[in-house]
Formats: sequence, structure tokens, C-alpha cells
Amino acid sequence: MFWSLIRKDLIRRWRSPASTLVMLLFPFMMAGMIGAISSGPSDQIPPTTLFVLDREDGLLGGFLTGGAVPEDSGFRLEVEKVGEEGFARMENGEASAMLVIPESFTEDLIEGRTTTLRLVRNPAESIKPEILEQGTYVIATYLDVAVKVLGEELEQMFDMFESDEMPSVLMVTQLSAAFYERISQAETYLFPPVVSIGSTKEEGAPRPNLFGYVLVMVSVMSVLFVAIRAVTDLYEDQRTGMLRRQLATPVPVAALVNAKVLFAVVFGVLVMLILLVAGALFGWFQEAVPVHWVLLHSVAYSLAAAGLMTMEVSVVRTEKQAGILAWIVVMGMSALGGSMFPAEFLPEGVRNLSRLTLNYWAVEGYLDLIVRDGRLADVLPRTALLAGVGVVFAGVGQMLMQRRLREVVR
Amino acid sequence: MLSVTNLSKHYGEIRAVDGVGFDVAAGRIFGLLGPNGAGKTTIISMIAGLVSPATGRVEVDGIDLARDPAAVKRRLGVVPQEIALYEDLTARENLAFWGGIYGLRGKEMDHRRDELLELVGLADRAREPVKNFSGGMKRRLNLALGLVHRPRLVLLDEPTVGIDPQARINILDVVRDIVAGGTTVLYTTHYLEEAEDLCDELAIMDHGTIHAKGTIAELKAELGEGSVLTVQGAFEKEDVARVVEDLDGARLLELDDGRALVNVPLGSDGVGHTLKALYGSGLPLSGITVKEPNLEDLFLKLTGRELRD
Repeated sequence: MFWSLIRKDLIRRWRSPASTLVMLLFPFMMAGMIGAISSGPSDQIPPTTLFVLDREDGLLGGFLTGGAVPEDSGFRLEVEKVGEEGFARMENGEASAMLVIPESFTEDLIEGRTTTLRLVRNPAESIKPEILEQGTYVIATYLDVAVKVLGEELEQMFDMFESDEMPSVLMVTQLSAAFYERISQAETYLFPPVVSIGSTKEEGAPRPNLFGYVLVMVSVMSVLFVAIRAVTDLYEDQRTGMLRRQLATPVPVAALVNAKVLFAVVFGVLVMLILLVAGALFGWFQEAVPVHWVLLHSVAYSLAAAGLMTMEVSVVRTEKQAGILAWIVVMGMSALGGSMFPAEFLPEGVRNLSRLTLNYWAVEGYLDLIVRDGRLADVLPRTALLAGVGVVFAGVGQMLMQRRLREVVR
Repeated sequence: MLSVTNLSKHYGEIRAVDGVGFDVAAGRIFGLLGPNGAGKTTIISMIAGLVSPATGRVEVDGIDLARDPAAVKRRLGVVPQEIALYEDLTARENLAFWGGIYGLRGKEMDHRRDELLELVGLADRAREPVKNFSGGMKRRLNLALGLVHRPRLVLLDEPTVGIDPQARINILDVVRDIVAGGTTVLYTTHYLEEAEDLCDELAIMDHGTIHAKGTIAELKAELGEGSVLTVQGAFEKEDVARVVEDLDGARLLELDDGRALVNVPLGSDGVGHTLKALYGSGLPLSGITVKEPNLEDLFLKLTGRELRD
């Protein structure tokens, strides 16, 4: 009996695939759109804080803390020079990353010895440290090119900057002419680089892929839409007389509701897995994905989504009301919970509200599993929470929905 | 097979069904005849366990619905008035779904599905989505879905509404076929001809109550044997009454200004004599029709209004 109810819904989805295709394509469209938006200026992106621990107290540290990112770059960077206490402050969430400049950085740079700029990433954040790391690569590349191309002239330039005396006009002119000649002759630069970047969150941690990140975020929202669509089917059945007909059979009302919830879970897991497999095929996720955990997390999240939507739909009277309320709930949870933009971008107070949404726990779990290479020990509580909430929501939703269905038939 | 006792259902001040009772023997077709709003569908809903009655009792095959609704529902096949089908599924898939609900599986399901598709004349369209079907075809499939688990009692709620004559004939044939196989049918309709043609017994309903019940012959006997004259003209009802009272055996069934229904029983002075008396009375008559008494006349007599009012 249960299988008949679920099979019927699966066949109907297969026959009318438009809404399912939209749910499947939506996350990819969003990933593309966000990619396009991130290439242009935006006032919406909150400022990113970078600590600089300058153990050398040299030119580079001064350059970084004194410089500014162009306003039209769409990225607002606040750089603060800190001491060793910077590590603790970053762990408190005061910065997205900390750049550590080693003691003999400038000397090693000029002498052509390999030296390392270490970027310590805030493990609680994903996107901003990634942006900073990319920025640090740019700095390293510029320095690398400068050392290889300018050589002696660079050493003279550093001496000039460190001298207390004002350089003569002749000296500056000679140095400029030498710079020009060197740069015009340099067509390529040699490897290996003199300056390398060491990124630290945890040893060997891979960098998240922005597209994978966005795909996960929006896919989580899609599963909520899947749950709404599945549960509001009950109202469609009421409108078409199918519900009345089904209630005249020996099948209990509870079984009809449970079958719908189960269908929402099955379909939600299917949609999520299709999206994640597609993301993996695009190479947006890390190579070693713990498939069983992803499946378990998907089941838990789909159950929570289906349970929540069952509760929500049972407190309204019509299919239209159900659709409107569900849309508000989904959009609200998605905005707060990290399905529209990363929760870490939200202000501190709002970020606490994120934890009240299903999206937050689902997104964080998926990111740890397939994007950030998080520890399973961190994922398990999130999966368990979603499963627990799902069981409670589905139970309460089932009771409310039974009452509602009996009313609407009469 | 079906016993309904003192069944009532009120919605606020409205008495949708008021103290209805009847019995249906196994293998018979029992009709509920009445206009829209008479309470027929509410009775079907209460028997199907969809609506709780305010008072009364329903027993199917000796099982009290209130005590064991699941056992009763297993014996019931419900064919609702509205066409309730999954339009994006094929006829086969719709039947498989309903069969699955009742626990039919494998070859048993396949056999029953083919049998029903043949019965309702949809075997050649079985693999098409229902949304491509005509109204009549959907009605036939609607009926088949209620029969998939071989119910002992089938509740048919106005199964021929809005379809062409050919589809209606097909549905009535199917009903006769299943009754011939031992199934009991409770059939609601507001079509007099259909009720008269199909049902073994009838209950005539209006405003939630049963006004008369029995076999067709018993009901017609309430009108008296003989003929019914419908007299029309610009007359006062008292004038017609005076003329009819003078006729031996003739009696007024219904009387109003401008319209009268007169029963002329067998063994009386006969139709010719009555016609002669009426025309000879000098009343301003516009016409008189003579016919055998039918359920329409009975309904008019019982409720004071025509069935299609």
C-alpha cells in the first residue's frame, strides 16, 4: 500500500517533470549568477578583516597596512597590524585570516632565498579566507616578478627607502631608468618562485571551490521546495476529489500523510544527490567524498524539510495559502540559514538566528562533507540534529495534517 | 447487505439528512432518487465513513460501521460524483494504484486490471494518459476504479452526470453486469428514467428525508392504477375539483390554479368519460395529456414540485 502511494507520486513527477527540472537547474543558475555578480563591484559584501603579523617590521608589512584596495573592486578589505595575540583574536572571529611575515623576509627576498608568507585562515569561515588567499598569491607573484626582474635595482631601492636621508633627484632618475630597461627586457620570469605562500587552517586543508559552495547552499533550498511540492499534493488531491476517494478506502489517514512525507524524503534525497553528483562531475567538490555520510545527511535533512513543511501546510486552509506561507518560510530560512549567501557574511546578531534554520545545519554539514573536508565528528551532531528535528516535525505535522484532512473532506 | 437506520446529519440549522432509514438486500440495486441538495451524497458519504452521522447506524454485511470502519471500507467500492482520477497517469496506472491500495499484487492485479478495462471498454486506450480521454471515457474509468477490489457493495453517486447517451448506456450495462455477478449497488440519481430502468427498489428523497420507498411497482401503486391526466388551462382550482369529484373513481393527485393531475383508475368510467366531463364543463382548458403514471408524477405528488425544479 505504501509503495503504491509513493510509486504513484514518482510516476506523476516523471510524467510532469517541469517543476522538478526547475528545482534541479535552479542551484546551477544561482551558482552561475553569483559567479557573475562576484566579478563586478558590490556594496553588499561586508568588509573582510586581515590581520598582519609582521615579525620583520619591514616594508611589506608597512605597505599592506598602509595600502588600500580600490573602492570599485567590490571587495572591502580592512588590514590591521597585530602582534602574536592576533592568533587568539582571529579565533574569536575578529579576522578572516592572518598574514604572517617572517623575520628576515625582505633580506631573503633581496638575496633571492626562498621565503614563505604564511596565511593563517580562520577555520570558522570559508569564502573570505579564500578571497584573501587569492589576494596573497597576487602579492607573492608581484614580489616574485619584482625580485627576478629588478635584482640589484630592488636592493638599491630598499636601501633608499630605509635611509634617513632624502634621495637625490639624480639617484631617483637613474634608478627609474634602470627599472624601465629591466622591465622592458623581461618577457618571462623564472621558476621556482622566490616567494611562496603557506596557507594554514589545518595542515593540508584543501581550498573550497566557490561554485561547489554555492551549489550546496542553493541545493539545500531546492530540497525545501521539493518538500513543499510533495506535501501540498494533499491539497491538490483534495481539490480533485482524489483525497476523498482515498479516505473512503481502508487506508488510515495517518498512512496517507506518512506516505506523502516519505515521498518528500525520497524525492528530496534524489534531487540532492543528483545535484551533488553533477557538482562532483564538474569538479567542484573535493575528491574523497564520504558518500554514506552524504546520503545519511541528505536523508536527515530531507526528513526535517518534509516534516517542517507538513506542519506548516497543515495550519492553513487552502493550497494557495499553503504555497504563500511555504514560500515565506523557505525564503526566510534560506536568507538567514546560508542558502542565499554564506551565513558568515551576516552580522553577528543575525548569525545567531541562522542556527534556528534547517538550512544552516544542512549547509554546514554538506560543506564539511564535500567542500571543506571537515571532520565527521563535526558533521555527526548536525546530521543527528536534523534527523531528530525531522522526526519531531514529521510526527507533529502528521497529527495536525490528519486533523486538517478530515476537516477539508467534510 | 446494507442496513441504514435513522441516519441524520445537520450542518448548523440545515438538516442535510434527517432520520433516513432503508435496507438493501444482497445482489439488488437500490436507488436514491431526488433533486440536487436532497441529501443523497451526504448519505453516501456517511455510509463510506467520510462523514460522521449525528444520529443513526450503518451496517454493511452485518458489520457496524462505527465499530469497525476498516472492515466496512474493505467491502465498499465508492464511485464519487466528481471524476477523481490522476490525469497524468494512464488508465492502467490508475487501476494499479487503486489495486495496490487494496493490496492487489502481481498476476492477480494484472488479471483484474485487464478484466475491468475490457468491462468498461477502455482496453484499447489503456496505456494513454487519462488527460487525453473524453468525459465519457473518464466516467467509465471512474467507475472501474471503484470496482478494482471486487467490493461486495458499490456506492455509485450520480455516475452518469454530464455524459453522452452512449457512455451512459455503457455505464448502466456495467452496473447490471456487476449486479449479475452478485454485487449490491446503492445508486443515486436525479434522472427518473435511469432510476426506473435500473433500480429494483427506490427511495424518493427531498430536503434530507425519504418521502416514499419500495419497488417501482409499489411506488407507482401509490398513484393508483390506471392513467394520469394532466389538465392545463386558465381555470381556478376549485372549479376543476368540483368536476373531478363528480366522476366515479377519479381522484385529484395534484391541484393548482391552471394545472391539475387527475388519476383515472382501472374499472372506473374510464379516460374517455373523464375527458368528456372536463371538456364539457366549460372550463377554459388549454390542453389535457394522458399517460401512464410515472415517478415524476409521484415525486410531484409527494413533494409538491417537479424533480428538475
